[in-house]
Parts: sequence; C-alpha cells; structure tokens
Amino acid sequence: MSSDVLQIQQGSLYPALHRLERRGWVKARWGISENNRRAKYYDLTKNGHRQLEVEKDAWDKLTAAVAQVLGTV
Amino acid sequence: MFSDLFIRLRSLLRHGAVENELDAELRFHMEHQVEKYMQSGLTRAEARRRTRLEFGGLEQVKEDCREARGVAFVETLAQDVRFGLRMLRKSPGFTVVAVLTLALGIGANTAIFNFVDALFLKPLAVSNPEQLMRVYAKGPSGHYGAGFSYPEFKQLRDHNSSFAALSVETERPQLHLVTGDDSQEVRGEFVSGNYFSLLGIQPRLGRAFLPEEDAAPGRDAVVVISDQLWRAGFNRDPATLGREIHINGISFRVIGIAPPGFYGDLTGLPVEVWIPAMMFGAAGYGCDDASYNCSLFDAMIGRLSPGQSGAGAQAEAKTAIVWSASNWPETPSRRQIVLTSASGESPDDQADDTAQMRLLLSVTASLLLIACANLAGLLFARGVTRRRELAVRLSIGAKRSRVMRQLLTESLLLGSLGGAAGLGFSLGAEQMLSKSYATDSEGFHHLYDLGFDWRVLVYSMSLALITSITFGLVPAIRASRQNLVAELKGGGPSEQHARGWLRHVLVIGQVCLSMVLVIAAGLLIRSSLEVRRGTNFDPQHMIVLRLRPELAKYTQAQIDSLVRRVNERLSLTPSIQSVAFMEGGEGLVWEWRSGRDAQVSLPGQAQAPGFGLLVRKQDVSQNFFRTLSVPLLQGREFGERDRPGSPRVAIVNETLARSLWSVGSAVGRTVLINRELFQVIGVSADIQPQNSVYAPEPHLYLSYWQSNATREGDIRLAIRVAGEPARARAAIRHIVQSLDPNVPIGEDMPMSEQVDLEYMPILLAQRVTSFCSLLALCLSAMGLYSILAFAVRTRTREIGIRMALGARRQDVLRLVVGQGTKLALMGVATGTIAALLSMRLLASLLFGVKTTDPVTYVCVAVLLFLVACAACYFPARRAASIDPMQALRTE
Repeated sequence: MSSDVLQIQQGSLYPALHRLERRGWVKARWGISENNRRAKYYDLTKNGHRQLEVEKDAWDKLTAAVAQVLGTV
Repeated sequence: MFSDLFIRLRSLLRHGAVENELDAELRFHMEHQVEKYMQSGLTRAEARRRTRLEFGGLEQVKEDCREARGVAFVETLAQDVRFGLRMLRKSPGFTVVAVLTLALGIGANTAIFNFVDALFLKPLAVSNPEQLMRVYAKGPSGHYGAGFSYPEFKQLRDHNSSFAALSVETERPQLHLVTGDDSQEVRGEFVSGNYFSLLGIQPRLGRAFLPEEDAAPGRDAVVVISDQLWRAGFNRDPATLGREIHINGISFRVIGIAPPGFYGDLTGLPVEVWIPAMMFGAAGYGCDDASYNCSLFDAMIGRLSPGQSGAGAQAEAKTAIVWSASNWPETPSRRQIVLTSASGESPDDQADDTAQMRLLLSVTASLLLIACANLAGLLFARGVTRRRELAVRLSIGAKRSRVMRQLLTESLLLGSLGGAAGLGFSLGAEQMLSKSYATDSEGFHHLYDLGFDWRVLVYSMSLALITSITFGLVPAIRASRQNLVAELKGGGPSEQHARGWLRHVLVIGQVCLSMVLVIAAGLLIRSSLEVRRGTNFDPQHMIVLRLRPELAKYTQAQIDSLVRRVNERLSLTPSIQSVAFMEGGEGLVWEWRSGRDAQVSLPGQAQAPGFGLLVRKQDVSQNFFRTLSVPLLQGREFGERDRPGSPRVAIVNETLARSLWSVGSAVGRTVLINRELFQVIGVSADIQPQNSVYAPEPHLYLSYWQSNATREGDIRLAIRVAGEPARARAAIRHIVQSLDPNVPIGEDMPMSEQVDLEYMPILLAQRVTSFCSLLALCLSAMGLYSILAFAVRTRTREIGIRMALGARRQDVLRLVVGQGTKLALMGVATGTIAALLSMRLLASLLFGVKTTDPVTYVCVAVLLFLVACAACYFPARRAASIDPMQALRTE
C-alpha cells in the first residue's frame, strides 16, 4: 500500500470501492484468498479502464500545470 | 447506469445478504491485517490495536459504505415510517381523530373534483378522443346552439382539408319509442352515416350505418340502439336485430347494438338510439324538404386529420361555410363558427356549471383548510408534550434536519392514511351527487362517468401531500428548535408553551372560516326553503304531466279533442281538486321564464318595428291561476266564456301592469300583443322569485283556446290533488292512458319534485355547504377545546398557586372560559367581515334572503358562540376542580 506517503485511514477505502462498484467501474467477486479464506476481489471493468485513462489524463494535466506554476516561481 | 440500479435494488431488497457481505468483507480485511502484523512480530493484542487504529471506526465505515451504495435515504425513510407508525399506534385517539378529519376534508374535495373531472375534463370513451372537435354555430345571444342547415354542413364537409371525417349531429332528449305494447321516452341522436366509423366505435351486434343510408331524406328508416336499451327494453334478445320499432310514429329497423359503456359523444347526455340525419324530417323535426335547408342541426363532430390543429380547422371552417339566408329566427349572417374539444359538456352547459362547481370547490376547500388548522393545532400540542423525547434525541447527536424529517414523515403518514380513507369517503359522496344529477326537471336522464381516473387519484394524493406538509411543517420546525438544556432540566411542558400566538391564530382562523361556511349554509337553507315554498304559487299537492301528441303525429283536431277530453275527465275525478294546462313547448308550467316572446305595446303608440316591450307569453287554460294558487290581484281569470270568437282577453302580471300603466287599474284596458288588440281582464302576482341578480320581469298570459298560435301538440298539465301526490300520479297516468293509449306521456311527477330538480344548483349547494359547515363547526369546537385543555394542563401549577392564594372556583372558570371565548369572539368578528365580503358569490342562488341578511348573521354568531362556550366548559371545569395541594406537589 503505497508505503506511508499517503496517510489515509484504511477503512475509508471500502466506501470508495463500493462507490466505484455502483458506478460500474469495478466489478466485485467473491474468491478464495492465498490462505484459503473467502475474500472479495475487485477488478477494473472495461468502463473502469476507460475512466482510469480519463482520470489519469486529468491528473497529468493538473500536475503538469502545478509543476509549471511552481517552476516559474 | 444499469449496475447502479442493480446495486441499489439489491441493497434494498436483499438487505440482510448485503449486510452480511459487508460484514464479511470488512472482517476479512481486519483479520488479514492482524495476521500480517503478527507475522512481523507483534502480539495478537497489539496487532489488533494497530489494525483498529489504522482502520477507523468500524460502524462509521459501514455506514459510509451503506451510503455509498445509495440506499441511506430509503432506509432512513423506512425507519422513520416504522417509528412513525409506532408513535401513531401509541396514541390511537389522536390518530383516529386526525385521520378522520383529513378523510372528510380530502374526501369532500375529491368527490367534487371527480364531478368537475366528469363534467369538464374526462376525454370521451372513444379511440383518440383528443383528435375530435365539435363545430358549433354561435348565435348573436352568445349561445352555441344556433345550428347549421344541412347544405351548410355539406359545404364544410366537402371543402376542407382539416377533418378526416365530419358528421352532423342533433340530440333530441324525448323520442317516443314504442316496442310492442310498451312505450317510453328515449334520448336520440341524429347523425351522419359515417358517425360510428368516425368515433371508432364497433357495434357489439349487427352493423353501423352504411353511407348510402344517409343519402336520401326519409328513405332509410334504420336505427342503432344502445346496449342499455337492449338490456332494459329487449332483454338482451339477439333477435332484436332486424326488428321493427316505432319512433315518433315511424317504423324503424334495428340494424345494430352499440357496445356496452358507449353512451354517445355528448357528455352527461346518454343516447339510447342513433338515427341517420336524413330521417330528421320524417321523425317530425325541422322541415322535410329534399335538401333540409330549412332544418337546423345542433352541431357537427369531426376528427382532425393527422397534423391538423383545432385553430387551423376553425380558421378554415370560417371561410368554408357560406351562411344561407332563410327565414330563421336568428339572422343567419350573425352566426359564428366556433370549434371546441368534443370532450366535456357542451360550452353552454359548461358555462352554467362552472360557477356551481367553483362554489362547491371553495366550500370543500374551506373545510379542508379548517381541517388543516385543526391538525396543525393538535400537532403543536403533541410536539410540546414530546419535547422531552425530542430533546433527548437532539442531545445525543441527532441532527435537527433529521428530527424534522422524522416529524414530517409522521404527518405524511397521517396524510396518506387520511387520503386513502378520503377516497373511500368520496365514493359515498359520489352517490349523492350522481343521484342529484340523474334526472332533470323535464324528466330527462343524465349520466356522468364518475369512475375514478388518474386525474382524480393524482388530485386526492396531492391534496394529501400538500395538506400534510401544510399542517406538519411549522409544528416540526417549532419542535426541532428548542433550548435543550432548559428542556432537559425543567420538567414537563411549562406555561410559555401554552402561549403560542400561532396556535391562537389557527383557532381564530378555524372559527372565522366556520362562521363563513355556516352563514353560507344558513343563507342557502333559507333560500332553498323559499324556492321550495314557491313564489306566489303552491307546488304542494300538485302533479305535473306532459302529453306530446305531436310525437304520435296527431292532427290539430285530434290534439284539441284529446286536450278537451283529458281536461274534462280529470276535472270529474273526485280525488282531483283542479286541473290546468298550457302550451308545453317552452318551459315548465310554473316557471317564470316559460312561454314565447311576444311584442307588447299600447294602442296609439307609434308602431315602428322593434317598438314596445318584449315579454314572455304563456298560453294557459281556464283555472290556471286557481290550480297553481297564483294570487289574482285584480279582475278575474280565464273561464269557459273565453273561447275562440269571443272577445280576446289577456292577464298581465304585476310588473307588466306597472310598466304599461303606472297609474290606475289595468283591468279593462286594451293592449296590443303582436299587433293584435286584447282586453286585460286580470292582474296576477309575479310568479318569479327575485334576488339581486334576477329583477322582476313582465309576463303575459293568454287563453289557450283563443291563442292563434298553431297547436304544437305539446301539453303540460298541472293537477291539484287531495292526497299524497306521489300516490295520485299512477292513477292520473292510468286515466290518461284509458282515454288514449297512444299518446306519449312524460314528465309525470309531483310538482314539488320538479321544483327541486329545477333548482338543483341551489339544493345541491345547500346540501354540500350544510354538510361541510356542520363538520367545520365540530372541527373548530374541537380545536378550541384542545387548545384550552392543553392550556389547563400546562398551567396546572399556576392555577394551583392561584387557588392556594384564595382564588375561588368561579374565578378559575372565568379565567379559562374567558380565554376561550375571547378567541371565539375574535373568530366570529373576523368571520362576519369575511362573510360580508364573500357572500356575493352566492348572489345568484339566494332567493327570499339577502346576502347580508342580519337574522342569519346574528343567529349564526350566537350559535358559534354557544358552541364555543360548550367547548370551553369541559376544560374550565377540569381547571376549577384542580386540588391546589395535589397540583403543587406533582410539579
């Protein structure tokens, strides 16, 4: 988990996952974990991949813009 | 989008499974994380602590997940509804009163609205009713029934691009139908050959008209009968098809039976037989020439071609029709084409009914307002007694909006329960309304489709919604806004809560509106008593009866002989005191608008055209005034000697006498009636009820036997009987039938019943208003009672202290009664002003009583005050019986 740079309470991951599922960007399925227990797995759907690209683009634009602003200071 | 809906639905419907999954998912995370920490060397306890710390509050995460799945709203609602129902169950008295109050308010409104829907809004029960337009000719008097000649109809039919199909139509409410040895009156409609295909109606048996059956005047005597007539008159016999039946003395062949539920295209006027328009003349109407250019047909009905608008069709129709100049009463060129939707009543009837429906809706709306005010008052009181509960909920973290939502949900629950019960109640009220409208004063049937449609359901449900928000919102805001600390520290409701100005305003408003309703009811009761009593005539112990030998094609000599024999025979019957009759074509026997227009002037005056008075003239028999008990102010009435050939005589009413000869007696003077000389032999009282809308009108009576008008073969009889008129009716019918079994008899009923039916708008308004005002009175008494009872409860300690300091029982009584009567008096005062301003709406319905009638106002004010005192008495008695020691100890 992205080491300790991002300090978020782990619990808040789940509401986010449920929201993504509702939007159809991830798909949940029940599977068996490495130590033989029932666990819920989330996969990106086709729509999810597409949305990821969109968000990535937006993120790149934002960070580029921020970098540019900071660079000019 | 689909996944969204699926997830929401699943969360809602499979609530348990989804909760389990959420639980499993989060537990897996926790346990996994704990194991990871233990592998890195921590003890189990330490690993658990770290995991929980990093994870955050488990319940909060769960709640966030539920919200993320988008069902929080519905779940809270379900929770609120469950809780609300529990609260309502806990106080059944309150719930029953509230639901009943709402049910009556909403039910009364729904019943009236359902009638409005049936009269004005409901589309015809045919295919694509929105494409159907009716074409009227509007006459110079503003009425829509000026009519078309057949050539005018053909011009429009053959020269337009707007209509896919067009049919002429004319309704006759009283065709004389003879089947075997049974005869009855039925409503018929004369229509074009394409009528049924135009409407998209398939007969259930047989066929509709063929185009060639409407091609030549008088040739094809075929008829389609209604399912209703087939059932009632022919026992659903399939052999009815092809049978010959007699209508107005002509033999018609039954070719089709209309489907059940189809009553024609005239809202409120159920048609029993449909006849091709080309049989109009043969059936005895209009004239019988080959082209029908001197007969008037009421209207046309047309189906617009796809893409055509009513406005476009109207513009086109205006240029398409060239008005023919015939010798019609209304100047043909002054007729004007108007297109209206074919659904709903005819525009003339709508104009008559609009004011009535508006009045009834205002009355029921006032009742609903009172009910709302009452409920708001009850909820205030409940809110105050529940302050403790709400304060606890607020202080342990419930949001204010959440508490308000809870309270609003409760009132919405009440609203929906009330709305549902109201629908049931309106079904009962509907019975009364439809019964009032089932026949008119001429005995013709009316039928409105009063089945609930979506409009009525939407209306009643929105009423339930709006009312529950109206009465629930302010108490909810009030209750959610409170000083928690003070509330939790201090015990029960304290004095300050009793002094809500808003509750006082609500009670005053209730009394005020009740005052208006009760005054309206009082005025309407007096008015209906007045019209039922009769103005200068006596409708009690009278039977009316209409003979229409014209329908059976009698000659003038046959008509005269029939009238003479019927009159003689009835006069000799012992149980009959007196008999009179009149030329029956234009209006009821006793009605002041009856008769035909006549030009009246004085000899010696300039005789320019249009000069003189236009007066209603009735041709009446001897003994007319004696039979109806109309007072003769001067002179004598028509007798045996006033026959054809003897000097021509006339009787004028008081108003006509005064407008012709302002001084001196009218008897013995001569007058020109339609340019012929008559001598006045008597002056009668005005038979007309007067009010601020209807001024006295001049009226004129001529002797039936002297009148040179051609006999219409339409006679209305008025018969004064000794005993119960309802019982004499059958006997009289029997006597007439024994004299002549073929003459069509109709409209036979007690005159008092006919008066009731003629003044149905007044009687109906009176019934609805009386009912609503009675309820309003109870509701305001209840409102007053509950505010006082509440005040007494919250002021127990104060009253206890007063009594401990020496106040006597009477002082306490006076205190409470004073508070109540002060509110009631303010309501009565504002109600009087509101009534004075609003009673103008009733002006046209009030006879024999003014809109500002002081007796009614004073009586109602006293009544309301007494009711208020009664409502004050019980709380006051309770207050006076407070034991000071007890009161001080409990607080």
